[in-house]
Amino acid sequence: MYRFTFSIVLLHSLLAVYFTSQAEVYLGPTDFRVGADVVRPLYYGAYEGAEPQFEFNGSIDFTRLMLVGDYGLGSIKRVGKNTKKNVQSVYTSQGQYFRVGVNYSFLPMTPDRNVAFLGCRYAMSFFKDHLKSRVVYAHSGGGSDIPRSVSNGPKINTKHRKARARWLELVGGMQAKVWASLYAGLTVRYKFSLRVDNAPKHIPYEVLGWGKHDEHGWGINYYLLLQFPIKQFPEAKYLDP
Amino acid sequence: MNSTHYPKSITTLLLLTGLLVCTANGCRDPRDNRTPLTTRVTIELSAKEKRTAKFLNLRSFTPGQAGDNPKVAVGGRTHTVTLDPNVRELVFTVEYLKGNNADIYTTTLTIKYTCRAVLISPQCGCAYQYTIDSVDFEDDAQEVKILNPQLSSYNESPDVQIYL
Repeated sequence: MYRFTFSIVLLHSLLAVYFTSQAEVYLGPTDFRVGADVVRPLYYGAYEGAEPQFEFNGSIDFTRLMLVGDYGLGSIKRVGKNTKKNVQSVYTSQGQYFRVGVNYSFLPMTPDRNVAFLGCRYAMSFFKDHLKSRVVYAHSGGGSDIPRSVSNGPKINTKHRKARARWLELVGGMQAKVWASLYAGLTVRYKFSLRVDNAPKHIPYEVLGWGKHDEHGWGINYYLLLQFPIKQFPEAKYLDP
Repeated sequence: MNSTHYPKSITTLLLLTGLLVCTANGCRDPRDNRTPLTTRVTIELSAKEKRTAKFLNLRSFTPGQAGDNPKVAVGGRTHTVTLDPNVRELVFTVEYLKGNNADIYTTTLTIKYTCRAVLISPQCGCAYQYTIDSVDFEDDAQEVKILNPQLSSYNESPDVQIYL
């Protein structure tokens, strides 16, 4: 009987410090939020003149912890010309991606339920792509490691139908109440450990959700979200900001 | 200002503008940009007693060719070889030291690889990036690990580790 006394007292003390002595201990979901990235369609559609891309976000808030999911879809088209060698290159890609992860909020719970968080994500992308170009630089062998300019190199016209990519992200950001149930959010991402599968014919130039084929990269999202409360607390129960 | 300075200033300004235009537009040579294309593979020999495993000699092997093949490398636990872009398999004869008695062993090392087109940029065109598919070390290797299958000059060495 006395074996677990110390553990029970310690756990109760920790919970009391976390929630304050006046707060009710509640570990269930408090609200959920759904939203969309408002800048991404404008950036790709208007600024880059490409096909628009869309991203949607959903999260369930457990006071300090948030379970988060993102879903994105769109297409990519990159066109250019090497005027010296008269070589035109076209890269197109179409697909969708998702991310799942958790956030930890550093702000105490207030009636506005603003959050400032750090978190992590696991992401996957499913896409098909097509590369049409020509080889303009090639290694010639003989011990030399410098690719040399070549004329009339082989034509490249290859497709992948079911390519997959996966990577990890560290994220940080915030969501603040704008008006009523409307929130504005900002998330900054550091993406790393990209792995591409089912792409044996060429290196994908750009992966939806990741960006161009770099070793690691940064990203930023601007969201507008709607909040739907699940659990309401009396105002006196909230911690002082 | 002296009137003779004006032509010089204008010329310098035009040259600088031209340089900016040339570097801002069109394809940049891959030797200058950050595309890490390489055909070099670094191989490391490892053993329980690390000091006793090292390359003595590594010669490229061409089947059917008479005479002494050119020597590629001597000495050290690691060695870097350059892949031949015209073939997809390279075979080397390797002499190496192992063990407390410093016994000399001879075996063959086979590297199989493929290349895939990579778009440097739409304004440039394509080049090739090399991927190691398999490495066979015919003598009593406990384990052969391909640490960096996709070759890049940004990779940390070694790319292949042979554990004796």
